[in-house]
Amino acid sequence: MSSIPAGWNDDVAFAASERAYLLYSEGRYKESLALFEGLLDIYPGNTYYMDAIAALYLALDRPEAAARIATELLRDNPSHVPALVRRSEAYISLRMSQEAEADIQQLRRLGARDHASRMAMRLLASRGTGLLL
Amino acid sequence: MKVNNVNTQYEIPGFDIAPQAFEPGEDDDFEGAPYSRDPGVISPPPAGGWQQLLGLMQPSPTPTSIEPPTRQTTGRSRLGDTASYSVVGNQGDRNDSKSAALSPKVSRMMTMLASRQEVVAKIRIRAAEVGQ
Repeated sequence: MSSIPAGWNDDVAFAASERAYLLYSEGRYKESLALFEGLLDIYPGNTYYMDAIAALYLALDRPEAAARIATELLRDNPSHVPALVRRSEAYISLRMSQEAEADIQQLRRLGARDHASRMAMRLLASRGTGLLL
Repeated sequence: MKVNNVNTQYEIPGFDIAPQAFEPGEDDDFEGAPYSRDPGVISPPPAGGWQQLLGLMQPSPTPTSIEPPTRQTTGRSRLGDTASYSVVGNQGDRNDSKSAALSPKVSRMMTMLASRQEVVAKIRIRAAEVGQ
C-alpha cells in the first residue's frame, strides 16, 4: 500500500475529491488531474478516480493515456459503462475504428443503448471527417 | 380575415390553473385579500420530479463528463481498504521521514491542497479584519 500523508483520513480524502471535482467543473483540468492522480496513488484501483482520470485525459486531448487507464479500469470491471464510453471516444480520436466499434457493441450488450447510439454517431461522424480530409 | 389573438393553455404539473371555488358567502371573507384567487398548489410534485424535468438524472452527456464524488465512491482502494488503516500500519516506523516517503503524485496533491488552505485562511483573516 502507498505511504500516506500524516493526518490523512476519509474526510480529508472526500474533501480532496470534492476539490478535484470543483476544479474539473471550472475547466481547470490539469489541476484537477493532479489531485485525482494523487488520490489514485493513495487508493490504487479506485474506480471513481480511474474513471475521472480517463475523462480528464480526454478533456486534455490525451486519448492514448485515456485509453490506457480505461483499459486498466475495465480489466477489473468489464461492465463499467462510463469506462467503455471513454475508451471508445479515445479510440475514435486515435482513428482505431475497429476497437471503438467493439466497445460500442459491448455497450449495446450491456443495455446502454443511449451511450451506444451516441458513440456510434460519433464514430460515423469521424469517418465522415476522415473522408473529407 | 386577420386574427390577432392567440389563446394558449398551459399545464404545469402540481398546479391547478382553474380558479378555486368558494363556499356560499366565503368569497366575502377574502374580498380584497391579495392573491386570494390565485391558483393554489394542489399537491407537491412527484419525488425527483424537478430533477427529471431538468434532465439532471440523465446519463453523462459526453465522454468527458464526471459525476460528483460521493462518500461511497471515494477514499477506498480496489480491495476496499481505507487509507486510515495504512496510517496506523505505517505510523510507528515512519514518523521522521513520512513526507519524504510520499510518492511525487501524492506530494504534488498535498502541495496543492496546502496552498488552497493557505488562500482560504488568508481570505478568512481578511474578512475578519474588514468585519471589525
